[in-house]
Amino acid sequence: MTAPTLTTDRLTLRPHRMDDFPVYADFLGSDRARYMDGPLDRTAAWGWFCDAVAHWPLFGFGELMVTRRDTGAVVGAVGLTKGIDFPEVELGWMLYAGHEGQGFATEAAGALRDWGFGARGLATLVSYIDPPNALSIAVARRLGAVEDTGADRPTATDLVFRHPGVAA
Amino acid sequence: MTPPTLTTARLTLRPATMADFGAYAAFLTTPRSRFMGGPHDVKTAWDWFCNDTAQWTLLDMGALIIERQGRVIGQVAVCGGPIFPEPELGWFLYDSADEGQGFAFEAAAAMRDWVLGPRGLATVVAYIDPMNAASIRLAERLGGQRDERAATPDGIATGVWRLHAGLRLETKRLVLRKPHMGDLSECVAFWSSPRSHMMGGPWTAEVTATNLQEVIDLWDLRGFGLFVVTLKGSDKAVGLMGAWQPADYPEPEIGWSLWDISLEGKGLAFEAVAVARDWFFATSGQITAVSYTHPDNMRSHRLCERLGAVYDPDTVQIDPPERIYRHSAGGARA
Repeated sequence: MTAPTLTTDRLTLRPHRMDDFPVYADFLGSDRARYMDGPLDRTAAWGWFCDAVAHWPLFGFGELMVTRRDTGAVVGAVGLTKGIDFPEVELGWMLYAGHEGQGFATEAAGALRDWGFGARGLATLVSYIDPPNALSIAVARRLGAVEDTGADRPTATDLVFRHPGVAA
Repeated sequence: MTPPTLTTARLTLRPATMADFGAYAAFLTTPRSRFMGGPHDVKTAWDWFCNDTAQWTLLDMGALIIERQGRVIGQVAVCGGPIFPEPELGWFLYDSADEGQGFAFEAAAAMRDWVLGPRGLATVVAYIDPMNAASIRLAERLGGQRDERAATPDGIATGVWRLHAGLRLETKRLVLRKPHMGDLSECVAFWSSPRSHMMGGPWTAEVTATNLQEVIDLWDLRGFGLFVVTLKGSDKAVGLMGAWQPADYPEPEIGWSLWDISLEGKGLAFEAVAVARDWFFATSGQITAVSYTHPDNMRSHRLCERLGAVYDPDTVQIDPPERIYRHSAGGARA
């Protein structure tokens, strides 16, 4: 399927375009990607970018770029990811430098979660988070997700947060 | 863009789905991928599979799965992006049992025709390991030539074979391109019909095939010839138009046939012939050409006059009775 465009109070979530790649690669090449197997070189970043885009035709869900409605600035990305090594569909988020502390990750991830449970009809969603990534754990908790200690996980050390359905 | 599905004589080339990943990864993790830097691990296979798929969204090109009689036998792709210096045409067959039957060539030729035709790229390359003699032969059959000066992807010792787009003329409503034998069924539909009687028809399918081959061969011999005319947005031939010179013609002739009666009366023949004539005079160095018309073919006479050609009673008729018009380079334009 074609990726949708979603809007929230302050944000637009839209499909990736080729001209998003430089900022996407800069983020993955920076220390900000340390909880995501980073920093990654350009070839690895291209692999991530293509994975994010290819999810839409292959799975019917995937990643969206997050932009501010007022300035148009790209502030990050949120995604629903399964790939070949996640036990379940994961809700994930990345926030680019300079856009932290304003609730953008929670607002964007909440919108994509609602789309996943709603229009897309997914039954459940998890977030896999590296234990030292306190900011992401805080986002998961703000979204109402609770730790699921019994869930399968891609890496033994990951924490798993399970998101409540929209009606829950 | 939505990926196209292409069909050839024996194959269907279609977009990938998740169900195709297993066979794709199985290929890349075996020594059969040795000329592609392999064998690779499954993670790399996934990155490549996503690259091949995401291209359609990001760059309006990408990979298509090759199916023969419902069975997946490989993949053909045109991929660009930040890792390769320029878009690359690539192909592979999963199973050696499917080799040696021309399947890779058939699939790669269809992808080449799509990317250099409707997709509109001017050039595409194939990066090939110099030890991979079979792929080098295939690239050369596709019309590729070794390009020693082309950039290569970082860290890969590879040869580069380059293919160029064929000639392509555009008007407001039409695209003109060189003919190929894939146009035969549209040719036969016209030349077997009574509508072809002003053009020396009707002909059997065998005669039409011979004549289409001659039209194709004349391009190679003279560097100009009849263009296939297509409506924009479709590659289907709806006519043959332009300047050509068969072996028994004393000088180049500007000719046309429009095969679908529903397309007549819209000025399409004028639009196509005018651009083909301008191209011919601009590129051939010739200064004059004739149009041999049937004396009863009033539509053609009017078209000649609109094109600025003049009735020429003094030129020798090659298949009387004829009414001959003469075109001149830089001559009057309608």
